[in-house]
Amino acid sequence: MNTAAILSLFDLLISGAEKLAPVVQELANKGEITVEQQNALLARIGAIRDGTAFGPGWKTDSERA
Amino acid sequence: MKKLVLYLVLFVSFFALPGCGTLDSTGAYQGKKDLYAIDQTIGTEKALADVFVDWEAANRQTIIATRPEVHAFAEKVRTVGRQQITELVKLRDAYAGDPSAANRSALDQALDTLKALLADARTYLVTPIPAKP
Repeated sequence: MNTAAILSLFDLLISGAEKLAPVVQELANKGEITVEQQNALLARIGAIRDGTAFGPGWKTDSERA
Repeated sequence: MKKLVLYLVLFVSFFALPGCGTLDSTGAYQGKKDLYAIDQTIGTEKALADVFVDWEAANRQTIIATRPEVHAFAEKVRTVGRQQITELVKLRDAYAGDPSAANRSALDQALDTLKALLADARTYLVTPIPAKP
């Protein structure tokens, strides 16, 4: 594996952790899931619904051309 | 390095499990824990897809040169996977409006289809990219 790919994997690890942070926080609190946590999840679903959740990494070759 | 990626995949898979807490009934989900669990699953699968397409995009030239099948699969995730995720949210909305067995079955089937597609993404993420000759 080349250096660029290794660095990218570290980015991937950090990115994955950031994206899953709300879920981690929720699971850490095994009691009540708060209104804020519910709103955050609903917002993520809403972003998929309106397309804003699909960032630059989702561009296909033809869209990038 | 392979272990690090494996840990990430295990990390993602672990948190794909539904949450253990109880819902504040005054929240957006109004105590509907099944809908919350569905949204968690959708969100987690989407996060996995994000990680995969972002990783492929960041290494596009190397991947095209050494693992063209991974690039082809990433393009499939960007087209078919995106459609499946969007459709999943429509089915989720239908179930939220009418929590019938038929709507739940359609939702579960769509979730299984997306998970099957992303299973290949998990496989590719744990397969090292060969160094350039």
